[in-house]
Amino acid sequence: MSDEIDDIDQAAARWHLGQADDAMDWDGFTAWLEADPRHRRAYDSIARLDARIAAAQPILRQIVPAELAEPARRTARWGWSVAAAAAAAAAVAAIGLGITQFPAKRQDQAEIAYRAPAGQGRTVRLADGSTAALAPGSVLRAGSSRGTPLALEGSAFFDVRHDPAHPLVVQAGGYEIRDVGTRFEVMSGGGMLRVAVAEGRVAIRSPHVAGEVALAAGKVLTAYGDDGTVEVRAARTTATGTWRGGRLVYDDVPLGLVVADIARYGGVPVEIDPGVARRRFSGVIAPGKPAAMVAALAQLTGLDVRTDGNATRLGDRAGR
Amino acid sequence: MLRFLVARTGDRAEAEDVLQELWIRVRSVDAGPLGNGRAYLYRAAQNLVLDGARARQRRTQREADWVASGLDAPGAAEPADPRPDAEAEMLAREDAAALASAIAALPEGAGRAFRLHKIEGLSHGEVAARLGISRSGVEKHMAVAMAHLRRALQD
Repeated sequence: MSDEIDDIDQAAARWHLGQADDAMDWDGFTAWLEADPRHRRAYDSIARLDARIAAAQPILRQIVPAELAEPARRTARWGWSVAAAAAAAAAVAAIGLGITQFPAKRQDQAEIAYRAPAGQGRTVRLADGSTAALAPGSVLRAGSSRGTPLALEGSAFFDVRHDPAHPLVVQAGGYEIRDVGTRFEVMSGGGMLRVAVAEGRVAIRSPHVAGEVALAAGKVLTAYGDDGTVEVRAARTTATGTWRGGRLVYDDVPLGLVVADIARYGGVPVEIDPGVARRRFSGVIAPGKPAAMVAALAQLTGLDVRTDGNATRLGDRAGR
Repeated sequence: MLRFLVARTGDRAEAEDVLQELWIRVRSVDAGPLGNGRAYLYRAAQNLVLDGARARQRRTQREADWVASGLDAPGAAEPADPRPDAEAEMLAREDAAALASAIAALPEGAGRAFRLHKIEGLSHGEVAARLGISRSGVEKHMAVAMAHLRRALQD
């Protein structure tokens, strides 16, 4: 008898986990729900359980040991199998000891910060099933549900789960981007914001002016924090995230944002003269040491590189 | 869609309410290219049903709390909770601890797949690659895991 119940539960779980697929057989699912009232009750239970797990995910991440964790920020990059074996051994010990206790140190909010290390991008899955591909050096702070706005420092490409009932909000550099289920890229840095929509539509709110700007697929918005101006242009390529594929690829992006990306990528201060920060750049910067990346950018743009304190600075050639 | 909603909720009146709500929400979203419109609609419907269930659960809980507080101190004014966020956070941590306990008790393969997918956020394909099994193997593990958890955590 309990086997039968287990089968029903597993079937319910399979239907539930298959929902995100475009190939989901909704008619088959309806028929299954109608076939037996136990099916509906089981499914309802599973759906609520899944929502409960998703809501608890940020805390679970802290208290459930990740036995096959991503490589941590170490200077020596271990091979995957070495890190996994070490972590698995630690995990087995930890399960017996720590799982049912509260962690000794409390965080002030049930919030989690996702960081992409210098030189390495990172894709994270948020509690609601959306994904964010973070550019190297970027940080994304998320709450436990879609209702809490995400806070982005740096650049990220978002693939947001369709949910018209619950908009997802990303805050970056004082601006706010609102979306119900699309794919879009945010670049934030140097007092500028750039949003490029690959699919769907987002709404952007500025700290400087009232009202929202709606941005549709194929359009790019660039906002300048220093004077509150905004430009919307048609994109020449589909937004995918400038750093994906391991290189930094820019299509008509203000230098201020490119420099902010390089600084974050390398984890070192890189600046640009305000007079040149708005010049647009299209090109590819190969990843490498920050000095080499800045030199490459300077060469491509005809600018000069100087040292300014402990920062590197890009500017016009003297005398121009 | 209505047939699906009736099958999902088991209550025609509720199904009609959800359909109404869905229609209102979908009309107000001025969406560009949606890709698979039907799937989008069904997923939105599912979310509304879940929201309704959760709202009912919260209401029942609030009513229970209200009644309980009245029994403890009849006639006393209900004191405003000075730190509602702290209490919410504590409840969230207790809930997560209960979940973690049940997750720790999962059978080995199912538990590994579950943790990688649901907690670490890997896709089914990525979990399959990590564990050296097929995608359908991952899907089976996930189904087993959810079935176990449902029994362990009967709502």
